[in-house]
Amino acid sequence: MKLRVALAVMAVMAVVVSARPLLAQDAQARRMALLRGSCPLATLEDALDDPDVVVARTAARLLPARGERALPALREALRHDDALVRRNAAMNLGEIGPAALELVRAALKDRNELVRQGAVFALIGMPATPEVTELIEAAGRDESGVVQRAALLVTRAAYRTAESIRLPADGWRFRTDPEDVGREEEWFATDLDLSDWDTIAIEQFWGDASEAYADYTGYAWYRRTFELPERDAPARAQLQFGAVDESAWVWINGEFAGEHDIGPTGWDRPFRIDVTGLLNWGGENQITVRVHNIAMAGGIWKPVSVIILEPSD
Amino acid sequence: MRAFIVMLAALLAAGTMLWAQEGETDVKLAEPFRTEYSGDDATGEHVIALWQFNQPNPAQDLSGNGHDLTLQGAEFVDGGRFGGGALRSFRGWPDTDEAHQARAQNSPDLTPGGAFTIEMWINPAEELRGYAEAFLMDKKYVDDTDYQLILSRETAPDVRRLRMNLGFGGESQTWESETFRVEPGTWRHIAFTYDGAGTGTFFVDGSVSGSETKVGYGRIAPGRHHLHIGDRVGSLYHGFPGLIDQVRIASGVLEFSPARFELLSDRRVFERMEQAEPLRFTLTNLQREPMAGATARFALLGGAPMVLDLPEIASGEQYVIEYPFDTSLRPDDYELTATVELGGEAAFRSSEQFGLTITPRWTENRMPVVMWGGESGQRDALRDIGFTHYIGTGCDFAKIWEAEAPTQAVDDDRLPGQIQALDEALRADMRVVASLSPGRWARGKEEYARINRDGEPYENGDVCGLFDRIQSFCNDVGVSMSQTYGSHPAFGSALIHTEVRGHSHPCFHEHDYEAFREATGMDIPEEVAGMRGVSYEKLDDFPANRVIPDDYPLYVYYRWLWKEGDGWNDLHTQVHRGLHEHAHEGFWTFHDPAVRVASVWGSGGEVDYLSQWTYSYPDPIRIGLATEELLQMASARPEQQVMKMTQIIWYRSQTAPEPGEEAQQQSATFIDQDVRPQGTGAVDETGRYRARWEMEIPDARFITIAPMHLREAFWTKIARPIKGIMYHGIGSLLPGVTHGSYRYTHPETKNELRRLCDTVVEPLGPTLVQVPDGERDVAFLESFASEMFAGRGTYGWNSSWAGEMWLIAQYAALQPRVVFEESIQERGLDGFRVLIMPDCDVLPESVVEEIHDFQARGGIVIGDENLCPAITPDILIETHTRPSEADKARAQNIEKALALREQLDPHYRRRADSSTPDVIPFVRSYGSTDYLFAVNDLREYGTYVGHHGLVMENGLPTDATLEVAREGYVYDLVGHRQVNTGGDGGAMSIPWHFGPCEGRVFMITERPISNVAINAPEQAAPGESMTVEVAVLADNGAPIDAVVPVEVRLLDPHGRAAEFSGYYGAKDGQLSITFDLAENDVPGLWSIEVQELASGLTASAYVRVSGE
Repeated sequence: MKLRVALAVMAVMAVVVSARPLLAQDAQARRMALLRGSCPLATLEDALDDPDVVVARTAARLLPARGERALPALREALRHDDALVRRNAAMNLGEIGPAALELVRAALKDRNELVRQGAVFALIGMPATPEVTELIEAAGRDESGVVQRAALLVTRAAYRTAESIRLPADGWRFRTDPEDVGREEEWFATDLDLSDWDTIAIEQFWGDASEAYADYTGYAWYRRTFELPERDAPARAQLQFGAVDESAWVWINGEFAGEHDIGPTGWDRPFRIDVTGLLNWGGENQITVRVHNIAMAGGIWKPVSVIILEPSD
Repeated sequence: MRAFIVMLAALLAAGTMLWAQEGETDVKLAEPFRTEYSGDDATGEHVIALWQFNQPNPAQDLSGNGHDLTLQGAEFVDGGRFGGGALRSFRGWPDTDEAHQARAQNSPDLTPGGAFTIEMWINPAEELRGYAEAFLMDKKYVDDTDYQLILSRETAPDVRRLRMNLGFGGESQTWESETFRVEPGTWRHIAFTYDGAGTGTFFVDGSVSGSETKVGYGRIAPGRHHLHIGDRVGSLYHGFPGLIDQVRIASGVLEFSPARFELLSDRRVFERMEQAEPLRFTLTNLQREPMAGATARFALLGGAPMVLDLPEIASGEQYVIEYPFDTSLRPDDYELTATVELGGEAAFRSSEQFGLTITPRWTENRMPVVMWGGESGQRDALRDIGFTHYIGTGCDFAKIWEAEAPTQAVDDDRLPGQIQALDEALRADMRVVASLSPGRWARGKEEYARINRDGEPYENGDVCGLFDRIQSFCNDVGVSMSQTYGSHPAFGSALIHTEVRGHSHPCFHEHDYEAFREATGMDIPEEVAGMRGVSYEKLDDFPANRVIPDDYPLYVYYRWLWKEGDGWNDLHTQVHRGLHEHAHEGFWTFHDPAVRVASVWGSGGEVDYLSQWTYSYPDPIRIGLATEELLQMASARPEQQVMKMTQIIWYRSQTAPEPGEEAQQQSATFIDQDVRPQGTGAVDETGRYRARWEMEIPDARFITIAPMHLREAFWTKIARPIKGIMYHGIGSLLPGVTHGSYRYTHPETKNELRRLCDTVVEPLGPTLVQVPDGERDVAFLESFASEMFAGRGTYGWNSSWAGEMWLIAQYAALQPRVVFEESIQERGLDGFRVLIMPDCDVLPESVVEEIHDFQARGGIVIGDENLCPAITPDILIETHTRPSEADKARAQNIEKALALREQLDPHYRRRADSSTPDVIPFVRSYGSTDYLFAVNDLREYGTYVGHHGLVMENGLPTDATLEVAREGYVYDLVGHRQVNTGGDGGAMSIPWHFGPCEGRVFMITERPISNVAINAPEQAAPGESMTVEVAVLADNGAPIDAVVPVEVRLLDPHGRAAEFSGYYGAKDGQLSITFDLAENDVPGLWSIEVQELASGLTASAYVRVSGE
């Protein structure tokens, strides 16, 4: 392989026009060589070892278009030190189809969340087989919010909204958590003693709901129980938050369901969390939301709804 | 008294029309002072006292009010003005300190309660010559009461002036007449009127001889002295040596001029060569008899007079005369003397002066510096800083709305004041901006409000711009303004519809549905929500790869809505077109904040300039992003250009917030006061350091931008191809300006701006506005689809992750051009080599295809983890939440910039680079010449706001080596000198020491500048035009291929700079200036001095201007 790289470099060097002191132009030329339609698969494979990461990433991006023949190289690419080489390889595996599912599965276990996110993207183009669905659902439970959101969207695209059930705005219990001990003390537990919790309304900032919290910034928890109608479990169910200022972590019936944590800029962003399989249809459910706010107003200030999804035709 | 105007048909002087219009005015006729008063003039109720000194009872007060005289040293003699008697007085001290006076007993009615008039005839004796002051009447002496009329000492032989001292109780004030001849043996009638409110006016033989208003004075105070005629009350006596006749004191302001001119035209100040309407005067015959055989004469100092023979004018009648003021005279203040002369038995001559001004025209390509705000009496202070424009006029929207057609923009009462304000601006060499937001005004019209799907107006609603009535109203406003003010040279610009899009909503009138159908063939989608789109997470059919078809209905709708559907952009256009219908050639319009909108073309409609304001914190270079957004927005219209505004104000909450209760107070009522911080702050009793201004104005809500931030933001924006600069927040720039919440907390900011204007804007502005943008090979995509479906977008605020990505690009010495999806769809990505894609979650299909092609051609995509899954980035910069601490935030961005460079640099060659991320380069080009800008961003926390940790407001010096990928000759345009460079192999390096937050611009030419040549005529004549050609030559003798800053001064023999002396940008190294010599220019040897401001070379030439 090393010999082939050297030959490729030499070939590229031959087309270099002149010396350019402001950049290491040979890398540029090597990359341009990959982009030629006539570039052999072997050159792409070899370029994965290029000392320049952008060259290697370009190769990883281009390889899936070569089909199943490129699978061995892509397997190598998924072991590359550079996370973006791995991600570029992973996110385009959908071009190969089910034959690449094994590599997708591997990529979904990558240590880097962006590679796992890329692997979820690869599933977009694949047929919705049970295996693919299973991988998407697993990704929806990934520890990373980035991966969760990617999986949610893939799921979302395959379904239509059948029904939306808005949770009441009032009757929520509330407690501030200035020392951030709630998670450790499991304030999401279903049988928690709420005697020292306040009662508060959502769909407004906590400072507007109660003067006592007008100046509060930091962690705080919301809890509520709600009834859901009797029905067969839907294909998918999601919790839709109009906006939480600024970050949110959600538990349903004591189980962690997902998070929305993109920093202060998330304060006005709608988001969804997949709760398929966590809800009790025809009975009582319990929701807990841990909120973190670092500046100005905070809280669940827009509506919360349970969205029932059914497969699109 | 009823008067009317009659028609005159005769053309009595070449080029001068006289005519009259019918009308009625109240005319106060002149007193018949050339006759001996009798009847009502002697005994009327208004007459307080009258002495005519005739036998048999020369001491008698003929008014019947009993103020008879007694003599002390004076005497009654024959030889009076009317053939009867007179009072004769004599000199006093130092000849002999004795009284020579006639005295009336003190009486309350000798102190008039309000307005009054004192008059008399005087005929000096030979003894007046050489004598000092002579008292004509005195009831005051040294007290602060009553009155004292004095003939001053001679200012020249037989020339004196009158002086009236009035006592107001606690103080006295003096009014003086103009000088006039007082010759022995010649009778002169003198009079003084006081209006009881500070205005005193002198008359000599019926002509006004000086008038002055002293603000704050009312009626005079009664005193204890008797009234004395012909001398002073007491020692040292200063009698009037000569005869006095017909002394009268009357209440009220009486008239003595036999005729009066009044300038009807509101204009007093003109721009040179202005095609101004002739000045319109009325001449009123104030005599009690017809005026026949009179002559009117208009004369400018030193110029040939215009003389008109007047026909008979009946008593009280007015005539209109047009005087064509010659604006080709040299720029100066002029006094136009209008004189009416009547010969024969009732001979008189009455003159009045009218001040007129001619101001120089502006030199070509002068860069506007706009104060976005009212001048608040600070016009001169703004001009001295370097401002050229300020907001200073508007219109009466209700008047135009009711007229339903173009009409005068304000009512008759307000118009003269508005014209005067424009005149004053012109005199100050400034231009006025009109702020016009008729659409905003129309929000009050409920029947035109935007409505929701249920047909209800929105809360905090907006006007629906698709109503024909609203469109035509906006056009009417523009036309009305241009008809009313459009010819005035100081009516320079109009700000159209500032800050209006924030209230806009999707609207659902039938005409909205129809307009959308007509434009797209579609119906408004059901999912439409607010202006900022719908989250894709809510949309059932949203593609999983976040690539939407170009005809995706919501995408089509929102694009239509932002571009034309809410009507605002067309409303701007309507006002703009109306304004240009009648406005003069140099007039321009602008709209702001033009990029506080989604990223589609069209914002601002057809206005001439787009602008946007930017707060400089936390990083001043961030202003470059909004500037680039403006440039992209304007790129849709070839004729549209960009100006850029920096906020003088800083939000306290974003720069130096107070904790807890004090923060609450900051938004509460405050005490209006200014602060002039001296030195730094101190540690208060709680142990906290606080800046001086924080201690003095703890409740300040808006404070002054730090001067170094202003400097760095200035250089960042002026590096880009903008055509003007703007600032807002006069209350934080200048002391003593009362504003609701803007506080003057940093006195050095205005001085910094003055320095920048003096050293950069004025000398280099004409060059910089002619240097276009250079070729750019880095694009920065602001995705409209992502704004509408993923809640992204900067909306002109420079914030969000895209703002951070922009900073990272700056620190990586990249020079990206902001592009919109539209620009990619229409122009593709040809010419770009790098595409930066922050927050591009969702993309339309056509854009994705273009990007795929771009990558296939070798283009490099820099994205983030939110990038649309259909795009595989070559470099990924993970988003991060900006820390609130300014130093950490900056360090984090620089760290990512360095990482970016490491990945990108092997594949990308910059046109210009810097050895340190602290100094940010930017290149523009003209022909073979590059203009390399560099801005030093290295900063630290200071003691102004830095102790809060949010803003590093102080700059630090930096050594940097700039590199440019070319060869050539480098000139420092700020220092006006050539710069030594290093490097080889087709590249140059420029080592430079940058001061704190300092910017620099280097001109890099292919050939060296070697000479400056002037081509000018050897001779010229007053009134002729003279063309001077300047060439900046390269070493091959050809004009240099650049726009070169040049200063040209044309000096008359006295050293006075002529019009069009100033700074220029010599395009293609050449300059041609036509100087229009004035008829009243000084003849002799004129000099032409030229300095090109790149290398500092100078040249001079001389022109002989003929004439005496």
